[in-house]
Amino acid sequence: MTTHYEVDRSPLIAEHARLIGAATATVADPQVRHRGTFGGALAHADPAGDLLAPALAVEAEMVIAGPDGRRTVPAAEFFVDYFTTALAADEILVEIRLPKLTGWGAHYEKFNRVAQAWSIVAVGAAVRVEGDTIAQARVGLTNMASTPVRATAVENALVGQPATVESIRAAAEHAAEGTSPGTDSNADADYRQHLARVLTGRALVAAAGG
Amino acid sequence: MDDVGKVVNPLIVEGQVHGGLAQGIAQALYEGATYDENGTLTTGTFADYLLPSAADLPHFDTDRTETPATTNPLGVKGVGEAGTIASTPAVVNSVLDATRHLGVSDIEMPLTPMRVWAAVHSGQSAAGGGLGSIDASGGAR
Ligand SMILES: Cc1cc2nc3c(=O)[nH]c(=O)nc-3n(C[C@H](O)[C@H](O)[C@H](O)COP(=O)(O)OP(=O)(O)OC[C@H]3O[C@@H](n4cnc5c(N)ncnc54)[C@H](O)[C@@H]3O)c2cc1C
Repeated sequence: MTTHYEVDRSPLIAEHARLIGAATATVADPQVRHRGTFGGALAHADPAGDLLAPALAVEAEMVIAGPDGRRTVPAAEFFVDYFTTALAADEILVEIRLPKLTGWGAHYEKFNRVAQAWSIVAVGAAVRVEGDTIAQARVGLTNMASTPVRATAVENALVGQPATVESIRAAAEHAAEGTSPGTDSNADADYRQHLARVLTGRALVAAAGG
Repeated sequence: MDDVGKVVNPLIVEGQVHGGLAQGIAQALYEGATYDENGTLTTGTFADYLLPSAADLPHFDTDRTETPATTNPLGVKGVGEAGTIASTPAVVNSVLDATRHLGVSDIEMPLTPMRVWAAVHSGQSAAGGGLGSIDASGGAR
């Protein structure tokens, strides 16, 4: 029962899981962050929720408890569909394990029309820069399908590249690959794919810059 | 810049102008009631029908001249819609001015990010040029 507020203020998150902290800081307003929980947001599995894609990108693991004991499910298998997770009706999420990405740069770029609104599209990026080169990269997309999406084509295009705006922009062109975004009053699918490319570039530039 | 005649309560006048500006900008950028093919309102909550808050609006620097009205003994004029009337066209016209060289002549209100993007892109394809290839005359049409 860790609230968004607790995640936001945690020195451990700030040191080892910056992307989760950055995304949490964009959730709604302080009142909501004081009541809503990290586990509740993941169990709810709203594809517009801001914590799913970062959890997927950093390869979080969900510890699930039920009548037969405990099991651990990787984020990639936890999110099944719209508002649907690997949790069975008689199970609860009791722990979220975050791998340490210590020293990585991270940024969560959220696009919405008014403050405190849900993401139309958002992108979470974490990168490890070695010298002038991108050694590792993780990119997760919010609201680009019925589940969060990992932008693996972008990640693959980045590794080994110089940490420059040009190489990041080129890699970000792959951001919409493998996505199947929906259409609503804010955005149709084409526009969402455009946003994914632009926001991925912005998120990565910010993450690589610090 | 307004002229509401003799100002009786400056704080109320200022508040009316701020609220009017917010409403006018909101009409340009955020507020719109839409219906689906069955006539059902699809903007029935404040998650869909967007109202801006202070966080979404610029800082307002207001000013006024004070020319007393001659048609009433107090010398007052209306202030209720002073901010609203000019702010909607000011926002819409500035967007159209900024995108005119891309071939854009109109965008339906509210000017959502997607509508502006679509207008810029259809102007672009109609003009056959890219966003970076704008001729010096400013006319991409
Ligand atoms: C005004 C408002 C604005 C918001 N804006 C945003 C936003 O911008 N971005 C964003 O990401 N989120 C936003 N949220 C959602 C917020 O993140 C909520 O905290 C979250 O969706 C639900 O978390 P909760 O802890 O309140 O869970 P609850 O609402 O209590 O639970 C949600 C669902 O998950 C189940 N559940 C909860 N905990 C567990 C568990 N441990 N194991 C199994 N099932 C569980 C519940 O049974 C329920 O079905 C907003 C919410 C509000 C009210």
